[in-house]
Amino acid sequence: MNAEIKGRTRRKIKPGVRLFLATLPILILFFLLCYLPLEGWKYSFYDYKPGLKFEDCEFVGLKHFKSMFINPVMRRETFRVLKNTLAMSAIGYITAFLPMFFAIFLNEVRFKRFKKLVQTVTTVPNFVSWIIIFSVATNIFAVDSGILNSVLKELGIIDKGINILATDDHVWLFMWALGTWKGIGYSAIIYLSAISAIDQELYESSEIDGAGRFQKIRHITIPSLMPTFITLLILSIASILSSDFDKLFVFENAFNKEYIETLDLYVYNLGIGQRNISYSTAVGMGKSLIGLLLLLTSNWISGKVRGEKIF
Amino acid sequence: MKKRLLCKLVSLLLCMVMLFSMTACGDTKKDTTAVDDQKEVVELECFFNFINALCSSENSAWVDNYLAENVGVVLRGRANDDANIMSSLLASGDLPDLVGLNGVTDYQSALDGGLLLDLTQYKDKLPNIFKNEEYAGMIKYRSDVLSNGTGGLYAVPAQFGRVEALNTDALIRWDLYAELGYPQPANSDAFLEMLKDMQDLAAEKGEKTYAFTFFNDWDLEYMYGAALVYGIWKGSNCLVPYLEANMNQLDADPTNWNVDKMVPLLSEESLIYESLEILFKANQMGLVDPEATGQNFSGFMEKFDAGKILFAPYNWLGGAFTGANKDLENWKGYGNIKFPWMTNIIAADNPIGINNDVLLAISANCEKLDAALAFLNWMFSDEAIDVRLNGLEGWTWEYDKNGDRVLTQAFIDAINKGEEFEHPDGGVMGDMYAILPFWVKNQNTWDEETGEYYCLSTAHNASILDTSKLSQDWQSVYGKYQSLNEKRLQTGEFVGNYWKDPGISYFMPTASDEITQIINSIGSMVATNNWKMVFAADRSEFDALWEKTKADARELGLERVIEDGKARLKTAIANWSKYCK
Repeated sequence: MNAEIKGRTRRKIKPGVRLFLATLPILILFFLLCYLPLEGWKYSFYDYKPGLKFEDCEFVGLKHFKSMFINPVMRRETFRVLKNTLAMSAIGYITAFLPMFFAIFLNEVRFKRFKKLVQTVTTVPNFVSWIIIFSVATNIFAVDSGILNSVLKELGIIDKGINILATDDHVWLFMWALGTWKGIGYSAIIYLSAISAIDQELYESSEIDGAGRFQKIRHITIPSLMPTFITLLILSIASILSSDFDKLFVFENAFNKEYIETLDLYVYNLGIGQRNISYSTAVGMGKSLIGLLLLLTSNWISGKVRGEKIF
Repeated sequence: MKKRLLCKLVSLLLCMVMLFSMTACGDTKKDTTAVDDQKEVVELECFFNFINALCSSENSAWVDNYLAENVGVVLRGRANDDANIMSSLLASGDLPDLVGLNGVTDYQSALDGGLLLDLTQYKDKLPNIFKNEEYAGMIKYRSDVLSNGTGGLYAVPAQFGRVEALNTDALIRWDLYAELGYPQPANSDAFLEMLKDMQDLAAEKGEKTYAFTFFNDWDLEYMYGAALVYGIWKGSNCLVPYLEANMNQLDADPTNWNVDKMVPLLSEESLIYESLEILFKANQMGLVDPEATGQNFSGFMEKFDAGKILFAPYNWLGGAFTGANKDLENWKGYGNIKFPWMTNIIAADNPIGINNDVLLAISANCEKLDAALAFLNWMFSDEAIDVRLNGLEGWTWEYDKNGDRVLTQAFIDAINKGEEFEHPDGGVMGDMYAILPFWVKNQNTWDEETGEYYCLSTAHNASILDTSKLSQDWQSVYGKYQSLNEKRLQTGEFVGNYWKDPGISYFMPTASDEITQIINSIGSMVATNNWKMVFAADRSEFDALWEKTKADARELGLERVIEDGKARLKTAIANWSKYCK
């Protein structure tokens, strides 16, 4: 009797509806966090003054968009932060293969306990906030009391401490290195899962054909991971103008500002720091539109070249 | 089957956690709570934006109990010096019931946005403000000038009265200075040499020290640390952005000032340029803390509390270090210092209250208006001033056999030990001020009729001469006083120059939005370049950065800012003459 009732109830809800209901909370969250705030774009067309009712603000049209390019200093600043953003993203794309190779090498480790230890140790930093990492970095790189400078001085390599955190040398690489250290373990998880999905018969067949470990990696693992790699790469192109805000925010200072300030940080500094809300909204809006354009373009190119599109 | 059941249970649990976390974001607080059967206590949301390190104190039981019993309110929110929080609140257009606005710019934004309640509509509920003659000038000025032409009173300044405090008062690592034989450097270059000698002496003792350290939290129109140094050494200040007023050359009466001849900040004649040169030189000598580059205010404080910095621009720095070492066999610590070529600025009196500091206001959207008005009225009562400065009868003070108010022995013991004085219900003496960081009447103002200090502990501290080994050594040079300012007040003898600020900045009109944005853009660039100049590798880099700063500032609209500043300064002088002279 009970089974009959259950069966009837299940039949009433179509599978598509069930899936839709399952994804509904995520869709709502996505709408609330990603689409609803787009309403704020309207501020870029007004001279918004905090506290003033929006309808009382003066409509200025494209004034804030134009001022990005008309004023020579603002133009220079816009291009500077654009250059920083693109450079840091480019370094990220060039080294995007690292998590994949890390996953492959981790998969090849035969000693399971060591494998798990490495995976845990490399994944944990992803869950540590940048604030904590900054304080750790300060302790490591501090000029007088930092571990690194102390060791280098003890070894006689340097006489005077190096101020690594307050220099404009190699800012992009330093930030990339920190990001990679923090995220490589976590980023490798998706590749580890993709590796586990590779048909084992392929490996067995290749072994019969006499393939060694590196040949198996080269001819089976890497090609099998490429769709995942390409998909992730295409998706990340949409965020080419985004940056790891938390990281850059905590590490920013007067000395590295020239190179560390990306579009996200620039928008924050203008909007919250300088209270130039309308102008910073215009910059942020420009960034989002360019990101969307890049995503559509890369998706189109992917369709043309590989015959596969994400949407 | 079991597995399925487990899955369902886990899903249910996760849903409950999500629901719980979502409901936690909502405002489920009750508006009122009952302290006892008779009295209802109203909760007021508040945010006091105050630049003060003491603002972190929260949830003090004795303060909560006192406010609940005597004012009928409980405050929720408290104080924080983070200007970004106020920016966010202003941007949202929704202020909490009570708000402490930090400065005239925030006030103007809130006023323009219609976010503040006009207090003149509730005169009968605010007798402590509207029926007090002392505040009549303030009400007149604010109604005339700061009401957007409505004639209302939208905020009340939190500081009134006569002031003898110094804006900045320097300290030095006195133990090292004494060991060098109390040298008297004739100018800033000789002073740097002296600091270098002190640094070397400290190094011989195994101490790593620097002469100067800075923080970037207060950078606005330039590098605040550089301004601080030149403020102390040269008595200079910017009354309006990028126009420098050299106090040594200014008449005591602002109506005699020639605004058009004031020096632009970004010129080689300015004192900040001279200061940047001095600090650049100091850095070349290894006197500037290299870790200052990414340092915030708390990091800055910690360095002084560890005695690592030789020169302190404020006399409240390094207290922990001095307190712990001043009476040891090998005593150490900071001592007040001044040389004849230095100038101190004496803070301005506040007959109309400070407009560019904390202003207390009620939100126009406040739904618990009666409670908010009662609280504001209480804030300006003698009782409130007294309890914030002196604590409670029986706890911190009592009547002696002559009927005079005196501090309790337990509180005196705590003061003498440099300890916080705890209330049996929880919290310490400083909490009331930390939570409500408003002086209303200046803490160091004394009652001219009775000759008594409002603040009993300040009077107590003033009456006791520190007899530690460090202080005895300091007194052997300057006499039996606690500070050079106290010596000046008591004897009229003084070292160097003192300049009484007439308080023009209290009357300064706000810049327009457009000018403010230009100032902010220039300020961000100038501050960044100032830091780089101090830490420049060589003179050519220093010069190149200075030229770049000037050129960029020009392109961003510096001339407009200066012309606007001159006009505002002239208006401020006219208003000072009308309302204050």
